[in-house]
Amino acid sequence: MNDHQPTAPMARRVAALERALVDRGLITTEQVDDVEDTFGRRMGARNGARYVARAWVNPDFRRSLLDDATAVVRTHGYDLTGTTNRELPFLQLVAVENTETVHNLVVCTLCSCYPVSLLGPSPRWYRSFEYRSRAVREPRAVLAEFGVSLDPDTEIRVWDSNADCRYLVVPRRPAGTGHLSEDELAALITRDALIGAALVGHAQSDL
Amino acid sequence: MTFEPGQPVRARLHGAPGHTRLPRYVRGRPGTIHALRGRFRLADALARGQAVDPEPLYSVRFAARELWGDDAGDHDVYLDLFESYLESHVSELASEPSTQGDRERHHRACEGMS
Repeated sequence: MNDHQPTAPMARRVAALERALVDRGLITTEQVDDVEDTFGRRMGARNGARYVARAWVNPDFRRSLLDDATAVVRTHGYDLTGTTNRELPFLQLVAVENTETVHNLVVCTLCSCYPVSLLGPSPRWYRSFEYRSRAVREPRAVLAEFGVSLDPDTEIRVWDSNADCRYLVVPRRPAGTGHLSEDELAALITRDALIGAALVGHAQSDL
Repeated sequence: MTFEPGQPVRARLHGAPGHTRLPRYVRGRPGTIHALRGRFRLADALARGQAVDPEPLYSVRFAARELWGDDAGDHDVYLDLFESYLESHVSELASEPSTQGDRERHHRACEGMS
């Protein structure tokens, strides 16, 4: 493979592909716009954060989420309003909870499987060969590089979403947040915390 | 053959040619059934366009030391593995090998069995 074919920038190649598909009547530009809107704006880590915040404030909801997250998401919808189920891809979800003694980290070693509807498009590092190979081999070192320092006695569980299930980490609720509303709690929860690559920080009002 | 939570299993050493969701790093390694995830169609067959019935998909726990050797950390790695990827682990081989040499003999013994 010595001959190197010149390639156009990605955006131009995508535009050419879209034009070819539209010209042949295989898709419409409205469908493309709809997909962009779905993945770019409607799906995002705020959905996953809403689920976690509700689990923090509602013990029954927490129990249901940990028992059968797929059923909970089917009931409540990806955005917890129940309205967006039908348009979005099927999701088999497992929620894993961080505790005083257990920390969970999610990876897909085979490609980049990820609960897009709850977390939005995955970060570049999640798709990197380095993360995919090191997360299962030396998660403590990887977490330390993310700035997550855990007690040496903390049990680490790495979840390889190598098949049909996707994983959502339920992070620990930070101390001193008893006065916050569900929405205020959701605002503290980052995408990386929902992957297990970060902890949830203290309330912003402390700053 | 169906499996129960807590049951020792071993990931098959050889995957199907072509697409598979059986990562190489668990092949031939002993693990423990953690939970049944449900019934799904085998990804390997779907990729070849074969019509197959759904089969059990299990969450299987592997100790890092079983995957990477004695200098690995003390964490556990959980994978979702189709029943077709698993075989039951013979109990006399399930005992912990005590040295690296034992471990290598143990793995050779396991690999010679299938």
